[in-house]
Amino acid sequence: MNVDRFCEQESTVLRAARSNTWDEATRHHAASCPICQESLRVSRALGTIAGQMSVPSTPDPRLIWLKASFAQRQKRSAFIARIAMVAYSILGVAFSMGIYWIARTTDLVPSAPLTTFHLSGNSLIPMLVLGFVSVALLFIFAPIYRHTSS
Amino acid sequence: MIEETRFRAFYEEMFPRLWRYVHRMSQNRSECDDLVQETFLRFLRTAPDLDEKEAIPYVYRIATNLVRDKWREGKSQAAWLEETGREEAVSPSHDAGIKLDIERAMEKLSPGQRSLVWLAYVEGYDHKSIASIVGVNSTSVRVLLSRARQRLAALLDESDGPGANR
Repeated sequence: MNVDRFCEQESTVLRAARSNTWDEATRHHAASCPICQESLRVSRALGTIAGQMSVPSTPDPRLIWLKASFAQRQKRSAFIARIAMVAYSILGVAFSMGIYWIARTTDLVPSAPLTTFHLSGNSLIPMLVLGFVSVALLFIFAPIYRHTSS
Repeated sequence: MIEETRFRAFYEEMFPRLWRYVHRMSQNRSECDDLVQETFLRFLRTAPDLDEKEAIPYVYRIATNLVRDKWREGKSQAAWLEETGREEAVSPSHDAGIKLDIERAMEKLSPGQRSLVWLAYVEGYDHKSIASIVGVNSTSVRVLLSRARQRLAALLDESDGPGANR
């Protein structure tokens, strides 16, 4: 079973070993501390395999750069599309409310079916219904818009 | 996104280091190439304009997460850090002797343990930096690293012993 063992000097010892600059106290500690000796042993062992690992030649970073640039442009387009969708939603609601208001306040469309929504003088309900319908339609068509805009 | 010339310099410095680290964790050469490429891609897409001191741990963190995600498919978080690892021998085409013993010992650690010992003993990161890379707190890193170190030392002892199979 493992017992967790630590030494406060471990990082100092490892740093000294890595840079090969030992002061007397660190050297003395490293020689007498079993934990630091274990750390040094592990460090040397890993250093051996790290130094001998064959790394493939570094590929050209240009392709990664281009891919990232393209992804960033796509992200920007998606952001603009989202803003446009919100703006269109607001416009849709405003337009619906405007149509309803015209229908109610002018005689141009005296038999406008929209006026039949008029309940007990409360004009807010039909306006809200129209607003919701507009927003719902926009959300239905938004994925198509997003798809075509990217 | 950072400038292309800065990225190129950073990439050329970091590619071999990161490749070794990812390869050591994943133990799969073909997977390693894809993971390293994906790491740099994510780094470019997500990193703000970091200075080099911050960028290096950040790129290690991305790589660690990618390898962990790949490995985790079907396994638990605890297994990532605690599992004792695969027991099969490494390819016989590897160099014999000490290097093979170390490779074999590393194979027996879990990917999380390999990550910890590599970051601490090869890359020279302190507990706090390792904690930010692997996503656990520094007290846990201290404990987990101590266990990984002891396990690796014990495995190296086994391979040094009289019954060692070389």
